[in-house]
Amino acid sequence: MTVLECRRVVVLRPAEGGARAVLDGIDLRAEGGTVTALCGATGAGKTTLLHVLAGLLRPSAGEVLADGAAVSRWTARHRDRWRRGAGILFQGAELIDGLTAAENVLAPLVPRPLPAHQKRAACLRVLTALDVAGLAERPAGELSGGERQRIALARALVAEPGFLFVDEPSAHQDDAHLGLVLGQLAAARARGAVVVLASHDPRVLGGGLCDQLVRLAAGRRVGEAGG
Amino acid sequence: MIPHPLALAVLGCDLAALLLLLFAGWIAARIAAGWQPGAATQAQLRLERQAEVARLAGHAAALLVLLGTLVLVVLVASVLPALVPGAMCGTGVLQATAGRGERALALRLLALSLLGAFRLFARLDDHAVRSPLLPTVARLLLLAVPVAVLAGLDTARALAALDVHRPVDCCALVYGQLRAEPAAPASPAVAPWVVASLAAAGALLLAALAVLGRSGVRSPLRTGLLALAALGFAPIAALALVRVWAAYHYGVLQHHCPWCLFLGRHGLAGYPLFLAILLVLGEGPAAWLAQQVGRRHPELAAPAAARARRAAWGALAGLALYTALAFGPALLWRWRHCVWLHG
Repeated sequence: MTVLECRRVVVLRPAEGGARAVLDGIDLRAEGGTVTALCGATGAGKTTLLHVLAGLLRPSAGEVLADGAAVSRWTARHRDRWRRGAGILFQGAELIDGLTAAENVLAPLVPRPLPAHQKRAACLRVLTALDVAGLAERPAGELSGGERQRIALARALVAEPGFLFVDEPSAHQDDAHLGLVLGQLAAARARGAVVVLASHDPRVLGGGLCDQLVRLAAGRRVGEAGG
Repeated sequence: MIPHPLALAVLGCDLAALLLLLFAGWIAARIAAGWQPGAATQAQLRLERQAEVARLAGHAAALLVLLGTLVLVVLVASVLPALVPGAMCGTGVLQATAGRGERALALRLLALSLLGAFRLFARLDDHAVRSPLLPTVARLLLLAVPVAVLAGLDTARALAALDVHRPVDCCALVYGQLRAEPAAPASPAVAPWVVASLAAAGALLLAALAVLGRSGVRSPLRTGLLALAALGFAPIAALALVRVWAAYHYGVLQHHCPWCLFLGRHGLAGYPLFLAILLVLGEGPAAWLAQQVGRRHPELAAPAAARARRAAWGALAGLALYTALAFGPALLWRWRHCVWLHG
């Protein structure tokens, strides 16, 4: 079973008079087929922890282990290769505005040795599931905030990653579209992926999706509850 | 010193390489002193991040030293002879540096050898997720730094000492050396060099083929023999080239000058010929080093075997180039004139 762990993770940022701990000794374990939610007030460290878990940010101390291997300490080349098995939805979508929605979604499949028709089918499947198939040929720069967020989630999901990191999945989403988004996260959980999301939206945290709730405050873990 | 653009390019390369090496060396010293792969402490993780930067700096410095050396050779062999009165080739130019040029070139060769070993280990280490060779890589970098500093300083001193006003006589130097040698029988005088260079080439060929044979890349004996054959071949090939084979490029006997081979009128043959010798000198030991890494670190066995195989092919390529450019003209001469130049 796929397992993601972090042990005594500390992230320091430069600040006046020395370094400030953005994360301070975080321990966490997330298993495949579960959804772990990071919650807490703004500035609690949710996004930073998500980036550390996803291999985008190296901790100042401590380590992140994927299936027992300390991926956070691997050299960039190997960490980048591991990240191909991870899907990430950023808080700000981070689409490439000059490309169409479909091209953005296809981007993670480019280095994979798959026939073009399979790549197109995977792209269409995930776009349809998120109700954005009609936007496939539109430039990403012309889309609304909610549409961009769903296109970005489609990009995170298209390669069926074993690790899925989702930052604020409910951003700009009405209830109907949020249902589609949460449905896709539930589907990822059902196929055994480790799903970690960061949110403070009660629609996400209280919707019965989360198996583990990790509360953060000022960079520290302050509590946990079953979903 | 002549403010020639190529001289400034050499000094620029050296300065950039030294700054990079000093930076990388500072991190390498800290790695050598306090590397704790089992700990996930702040100090260790900072060192791991810095190690990646130091490795890049080391690679860049090695390429800069190589580039600087190539430019220096072009400067000495092809540019400065026109500016130093009496100099007809690099021999005269080195004469005008009051002996500092030869030492600079020797130190550069040593620095390149150490940086080449650093690159070999660092690139193999890249294949493992947790850098098992990093302490060795750091120690190699620490060895290379002082040699590269000395090489850079000597190069700068040699260029500064270059006297373009006092005439030199490079032919007098070459023939002076010839006169200083004991008299030898006329006809078979150079035969030992012919035999030695052919024997060294044959030994190198057999050793490289043995490494390329089944499981050869994992055999310490075969890769060790290739390293020894390469280390033996290089000096013999260089001396035989100057003593015997160069005559077929010059068309005259007894002109034992390595630098004239770099002149345009001799087809710039010195560049590929000495490159071939250096390729053999570098790749032969690389096969053995890679095999040793593969034996000690099972997780690196596959990339180490691939590197050893590539090294054997590299040595063969060097040998083929040398054979074509050293022995080839001699065979051509024999075919056209029905006589050997060396007796």
